[in-house]
Amino acid sequence: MEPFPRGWKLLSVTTAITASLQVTAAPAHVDDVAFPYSGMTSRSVVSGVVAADGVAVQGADVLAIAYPAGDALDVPEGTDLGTLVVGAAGTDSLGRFSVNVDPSALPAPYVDDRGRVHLEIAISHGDREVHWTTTAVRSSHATPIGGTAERCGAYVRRDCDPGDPVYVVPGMGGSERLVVIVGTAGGRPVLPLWSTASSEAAGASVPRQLVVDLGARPSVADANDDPATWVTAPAGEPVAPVPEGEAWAPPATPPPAPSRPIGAAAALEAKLAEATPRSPAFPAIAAAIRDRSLTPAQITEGRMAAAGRSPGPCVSRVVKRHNGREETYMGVYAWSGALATVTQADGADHTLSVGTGGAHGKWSSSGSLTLSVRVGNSHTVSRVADAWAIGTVNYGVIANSCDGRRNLVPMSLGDPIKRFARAYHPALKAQCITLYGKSSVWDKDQARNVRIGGGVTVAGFSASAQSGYDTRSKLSFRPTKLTRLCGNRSVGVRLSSIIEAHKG
Amino acid sequence: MACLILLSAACPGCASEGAADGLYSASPRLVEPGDGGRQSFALRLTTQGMPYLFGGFAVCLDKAGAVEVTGVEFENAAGGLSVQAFALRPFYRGFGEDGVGWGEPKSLKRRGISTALRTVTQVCQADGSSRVEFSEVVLQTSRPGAVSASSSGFVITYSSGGSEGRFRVPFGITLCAPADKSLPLCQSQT
Repeated sequence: MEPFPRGWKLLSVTTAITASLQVTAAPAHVDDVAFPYSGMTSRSVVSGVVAADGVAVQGADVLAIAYPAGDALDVPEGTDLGTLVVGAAGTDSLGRFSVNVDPSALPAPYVDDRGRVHLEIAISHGDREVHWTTTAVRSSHATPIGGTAERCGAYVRRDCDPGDPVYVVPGMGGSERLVVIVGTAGGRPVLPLWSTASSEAAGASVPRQLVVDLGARPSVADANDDPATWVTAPAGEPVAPVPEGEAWAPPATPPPAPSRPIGAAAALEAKLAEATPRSPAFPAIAAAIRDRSLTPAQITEGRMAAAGRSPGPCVSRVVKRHNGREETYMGVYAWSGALATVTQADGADHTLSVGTGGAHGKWSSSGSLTLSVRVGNSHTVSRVADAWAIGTVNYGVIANSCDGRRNLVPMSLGDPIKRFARAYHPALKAQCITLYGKSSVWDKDQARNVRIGGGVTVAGFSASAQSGYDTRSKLSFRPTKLTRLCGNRSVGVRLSSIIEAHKG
Repeated sequence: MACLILLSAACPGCASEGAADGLYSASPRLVEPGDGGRQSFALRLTTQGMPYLFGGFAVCLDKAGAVEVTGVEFENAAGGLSVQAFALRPFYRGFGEDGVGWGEPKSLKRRGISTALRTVTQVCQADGSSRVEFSEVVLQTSRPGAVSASSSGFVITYSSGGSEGRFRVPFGITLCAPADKSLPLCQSQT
């Protein structure tokens, strides 16, 4: 969307983290065996930096634990998910880690039909542990990372420990910068095999980049997704598409409040993580390394999954389903002379927050999973105006048998367009284009929708939701009267993330 | 390092690792200042031979410098659709009301837009920055025959630092002919 801000914001984060160059050494554990560190390789599925109260942590441990994918994730209450450890890494003296996963080593239940894998990333140091959940997608862009890439900003090279170097990767189809905060192995450029849904939509392939703090206020931040950019979605009364042949007029009742950024406090809250005691999964892997049934080479090659390792003695069981929760994911702003058509076809992506904790009914945000509209659930609705599109999602509570930790996880999507609720029609003026009545046709797909904070409320947890305007998700206008199509960015309607149509 | 050696033998993505570094050359690249995704626009009523203008396409450089635009061509053009002429217009503020729209039935000359400028020097700025600069690309095209004409996007070719670059803008244009409803966007209203 914007040229540099994510990179710059990351720099401010890393600068704060690295106010001190002091490195925290790992305390001794009877089960502690150093997990291997490697720079980013083509097989990196997630990488990042671990600190404690802003000080880089050396010797922190990271595990990537795969959930079943596709229909295999959508299981009834009482089912053991059968999670699998597919990657591990340790942090170096600058707090950096990179978890490698060889796609060819992943058994079928852990990969969906598009090659995606759902991962719970566990980061542990001392007696503390935090978790983050993400969906890794297969890369489709030849975006090299490393080599002589710009470091620590678009144009300058500067010290940015502990994440040094920070690569700023230009999008291939746009100018949005994506940051990579871990150097490549040997300093050589790599072409990532793994990426994220949002990076792919931005035109580049970049695996997930995390900034983790295990200090007094534990937090996990996605270096390429600042919650400050998420927006609210105040919804009014239910509204229906306008019947064919009937005119639309705004309801006489007052509209709901406008959509706004979620605010600094909510953005900070979204980064805070629930710290839990160190789980038995780590000593189980350490023991395997110690007795040489698992080798550091297997780990750095990303072939742990081939060894079929469960995360220690622990079982992750679905203990509660919350089906049919409403997901607000797209604002549609139109008028009677240009009603909109919304399409959510089979395979359309939705990225939904995961909650962790649940102690005393309080959940903290811990990443997200990307799910797709199921075959047979394709849905197109025409003649929509000033409405939030609302679909349904099925969540489940997954309990860990060892430590009682609970995750609130989206398990499948239901009807992608269940209903509409009234939305405030924003007056956008950054740029407007004239659409001629009964002549102009405009379709948009393959871009991202804005991410909505609190798009889903489930079990007291306020989850964010984001739909992709991928090839399977589309917004269309076919005006019958002279219309002004306006965007929210000064660089034009074409590059605006929010679009509205009004009388021309 | 050991890992990379192993990977180069084992994974397909590693085979070209060493060859891709050119992306980070010192020369600027032409990009769009944002994520527009794929868009399609159709004029369902067009006149054969009439020039139509399509503008509002912002481009900029990913780093300071200059590039020379050498051509603009439609991608997957059908029905004889071609770029008859193009213009670059520097902007140092937002478009506001000053951008060229989509499907204005005029020529560049009649609209008073010069085609002389071929250089882009505007550097992409962060969204929300007080500084705004970009170059607007304006295309002139027409439907040359009795059939509907279309494209899936357009490609800008440019020279930068002695090498040629290509930048694709995935904005499809369709100009419908009254008697030809064969293209999807030329069909009924709904």
